Amino acid sequence: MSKTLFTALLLLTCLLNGCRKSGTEPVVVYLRMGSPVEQGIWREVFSAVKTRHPDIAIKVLNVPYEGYWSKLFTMCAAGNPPDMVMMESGFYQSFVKKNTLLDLTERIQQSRHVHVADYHPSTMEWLTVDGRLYGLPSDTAVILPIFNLDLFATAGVTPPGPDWSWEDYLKIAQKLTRDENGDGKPEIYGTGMPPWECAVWAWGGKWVDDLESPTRCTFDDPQVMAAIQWVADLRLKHKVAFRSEQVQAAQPDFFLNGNIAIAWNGHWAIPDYIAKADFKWDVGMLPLGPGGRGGWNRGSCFSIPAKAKQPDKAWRIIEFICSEEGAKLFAGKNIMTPVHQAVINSREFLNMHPPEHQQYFVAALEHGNLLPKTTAFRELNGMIVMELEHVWIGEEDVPSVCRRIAAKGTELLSREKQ
Amino acid sequence: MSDVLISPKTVSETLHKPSQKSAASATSQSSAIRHTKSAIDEWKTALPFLLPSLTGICLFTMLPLMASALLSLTQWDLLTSPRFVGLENYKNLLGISHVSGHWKASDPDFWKYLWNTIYLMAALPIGIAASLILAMLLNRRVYGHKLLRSIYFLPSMCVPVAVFLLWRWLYNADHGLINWALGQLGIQGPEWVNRSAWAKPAIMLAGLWAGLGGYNMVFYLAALQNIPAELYEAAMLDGASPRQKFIHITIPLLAPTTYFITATSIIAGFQGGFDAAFVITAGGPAGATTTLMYYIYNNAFEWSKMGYAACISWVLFTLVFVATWAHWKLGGRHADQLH
Amino acid sequence: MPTNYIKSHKILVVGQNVITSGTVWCLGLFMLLPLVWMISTALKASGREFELPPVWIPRPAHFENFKQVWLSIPFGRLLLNSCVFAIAVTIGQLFTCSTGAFAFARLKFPGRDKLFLIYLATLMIPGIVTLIPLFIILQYLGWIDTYPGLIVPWLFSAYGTFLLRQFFIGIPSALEDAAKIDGCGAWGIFFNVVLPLSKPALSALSIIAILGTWREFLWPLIITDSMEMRTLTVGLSVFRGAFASDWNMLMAASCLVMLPLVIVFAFNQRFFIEGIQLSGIKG
Repeated sequence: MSKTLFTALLLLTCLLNGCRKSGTEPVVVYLRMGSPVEQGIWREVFSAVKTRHPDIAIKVLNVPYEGYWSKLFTMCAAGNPPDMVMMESGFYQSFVKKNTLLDLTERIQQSRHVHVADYHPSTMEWLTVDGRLYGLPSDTAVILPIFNLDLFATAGVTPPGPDWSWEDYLKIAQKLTRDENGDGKPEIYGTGMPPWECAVWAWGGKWVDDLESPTRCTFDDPQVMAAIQWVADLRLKHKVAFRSEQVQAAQPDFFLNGNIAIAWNGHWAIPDYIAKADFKWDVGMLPLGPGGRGGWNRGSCFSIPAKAKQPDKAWRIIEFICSEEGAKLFAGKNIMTPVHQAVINSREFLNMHPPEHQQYFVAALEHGNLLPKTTAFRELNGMIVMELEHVWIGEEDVPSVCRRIAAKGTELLSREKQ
Repeated sequence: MSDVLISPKTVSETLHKPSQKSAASATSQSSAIRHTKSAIDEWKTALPFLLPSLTGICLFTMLPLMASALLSLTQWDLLTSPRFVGLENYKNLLGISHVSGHWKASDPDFWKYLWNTIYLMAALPIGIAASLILAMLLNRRVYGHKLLRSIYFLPSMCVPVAVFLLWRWLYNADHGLINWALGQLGIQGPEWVNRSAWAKPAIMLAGLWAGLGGYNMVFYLAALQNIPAELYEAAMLDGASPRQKFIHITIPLLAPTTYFITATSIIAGFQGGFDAAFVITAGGPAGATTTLMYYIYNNAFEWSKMGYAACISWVLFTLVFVATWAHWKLGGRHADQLH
Repeated sequence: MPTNYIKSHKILVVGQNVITSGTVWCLGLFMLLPLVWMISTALKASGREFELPPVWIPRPAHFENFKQVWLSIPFGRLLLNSCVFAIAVTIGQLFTCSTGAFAFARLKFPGRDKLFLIYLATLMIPGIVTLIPLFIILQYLGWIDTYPGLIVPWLFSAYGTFLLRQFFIGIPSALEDAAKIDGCGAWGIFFNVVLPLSKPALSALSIIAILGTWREFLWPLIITDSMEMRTLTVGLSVFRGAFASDWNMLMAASCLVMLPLVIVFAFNQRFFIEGIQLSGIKG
């Protein structure tokens, strides 16, 4: 009985399988599955691609972020990568240095639709590896402090202008922190934990000796240690920073709930805040530190794997998506910091409110810091994040942790060089 | 089940049904008859039964397993071809050198995560004992026992990610439900997953919640219901106390089930702690809840060091194999009448 | 004297029952709390999920969250895939595990125990490191993004074989010998003696197979490409973005994913849990 059922099921599935294979081979596009809003934009974009290139059939792989890289690595390892991939700067370096992405330099130079000068110069800094380009940018991952203006008003604090410093940041956070019932545990925290990276850069600290080709991790640098100490103090000494479950996790949830007055988040969270926040809010500028402002220079791009079966068609899709026309389709919903100059400087983009100070996203592009260009970047980053938790939970002092990070990091980099 | 385990003689004597004891002797009789058969004949009978599972296990489990053994001898970044490095991965993983009076492991993280894994396995005996006690309570005529069984089974039906996200939030130090409730009672709750000392128990508690009424309880319920009521009745006539009944009837008759549950728990325990830690703590704080399984995942897909991940897996395999073997020597044989 | 003894004994028993019932119920309610919280969250408005003191019964209850979930993902299709996956794997495992377990438990052949040890050993290597080799095999078979690719590797289970073997071993040989005298061969014994006596074990295996497939995330994600081939658990991740989660949606979706399981188990409790006691392996 079960045997016949089993065979019947197998037969059925084989039949279904047989029916699926027909027509021309589509271009396989590997995408990060975004919010329903983002998915809507993509549908628009692909229908525009179809109108422009009726000969191209597209098969979209919308992959949830949890499992995005596992699946991509599996496909690559099996020798059957997709034709077009949405890359992130943290992974881009590894893929490029392992020769697994197609060199697009010539195609970009010869294109009539896209030009290197079309994009904000900062994006080209992380996209360029040894003078060659292996992708075209889609967006920058700018992260800014976001203010709950209602909490500012209740505390009688004026939202800071663009020229505020990290010193001001602490003072404001202290004023915003409120313990209403006096149990020693604030109901409202002045700030979420700011990203330590931003502080390190603002103090003029450097992770490694040479960003282009790092050999030594410089976390024992006094500026780095001072910045880390400062961030840790927010939490441990001044008790104005919210303690989240994963120490470094962004806390949009508790910001939305009104428990945090200043939370750091990226452009991608804007639609969420527009839809959900029942208070007034705005973005702030990156605070000034002893070494200037510290932001990230990182983002996403579109690339073609070297083993792609249909690189030419994939290129035509990228060429369209990254052109002015394509970039404008994405800008409409305010889900990402654009990289195309025509959009960055457009009235449409700058006039999209809220947030009131939309221009800070553009301004922050000027203060981006590159991440070390090494294939070991993710391991290095993972190690640093893990070790720094010793500091955030107050179980170890900053100098000993930073010195350990420097030693471990240098060992890691030298192993990678071999 | 060997007859040694059914110790109260009065009990086994009052039994009229075919007991485990007679079953065991019957097996040895029939195997004596079969002994005349040649090995080829025996295989001829067995092969049709084995074939369906053997084909599948060979193709979809053994083959990838062999591949992973080979991969453990390579460096593989998943993007370029694997590079053969011999035993280098094993050396890097297990190597210990003696440098200027200090023993220095070449991969200290591995030892730390091994310790974490073993620490978290402390929840296993608690979980097994709890599911046994629970099964015994629910096996009695507790008011509404049918509904209760479903309630205890419900967490096993939840999608792990959603459940553990929920726990992450319950554990939040300032705005989590647990500390809020403790606060109402005037107790200052700990920072749960923000402290190395509390993070492991917190992960264990969430894991216990998710697994308490799950498979193990179901297996125990099944096994308990299979114990003939006559045994207990006979024991009661002999004036046995509930404690004696538990020790001399329940425990021995549950032995095969207990063996299965402990064996699979040991295997799962060594590979455990991933789902909960991945969602609740991301392995933190400072690696306090990173288990070997988590380390393997990180190596394989986060840092694309598949060769090293395979190497850790095979070291893990050795550990599990030794543990399973010891477990077999300690008690498994008695639970298995074939030996 | 004796009546007094019995009376006090009865009171003691009743008292004990009340205490145990109370304890088990209290613990049960504690077990239930996170799930109640899940349902409560599913009914809350966006951005209102974290309020303290906790709101157990949201007013107004946002039942439209469930509708929203239904509209955001191709729920019907995902449900179908989940069902196909779960049912096919369950039936397949019942077949392959029971035959295999029969050979290991009731037959005698050279190398049997060594082979069984190998079966056990396959459980000891984490699936993550065998994932890519397995994927390559399925790619070679042309099964990526198809039902066979999703299902076939799961049809065989060393765990299930182990489970059934432990149950089969306990079946009294006297019954087997009686069947032999009646002229039954190995297959006759398998179908007429072992399987009918093992219903509880088979239902236990079904539970494991159904729950295992239903809640699996990584495998369906890796092996399927299109949304049309994915399962409910994978579809759930729409609400868990890369950077933020829609908590109410995620919890509403989790409830919906869980619901078919709850229905199946509630209506078949007799089969799955109660059924086990009807025909046990009497030892």
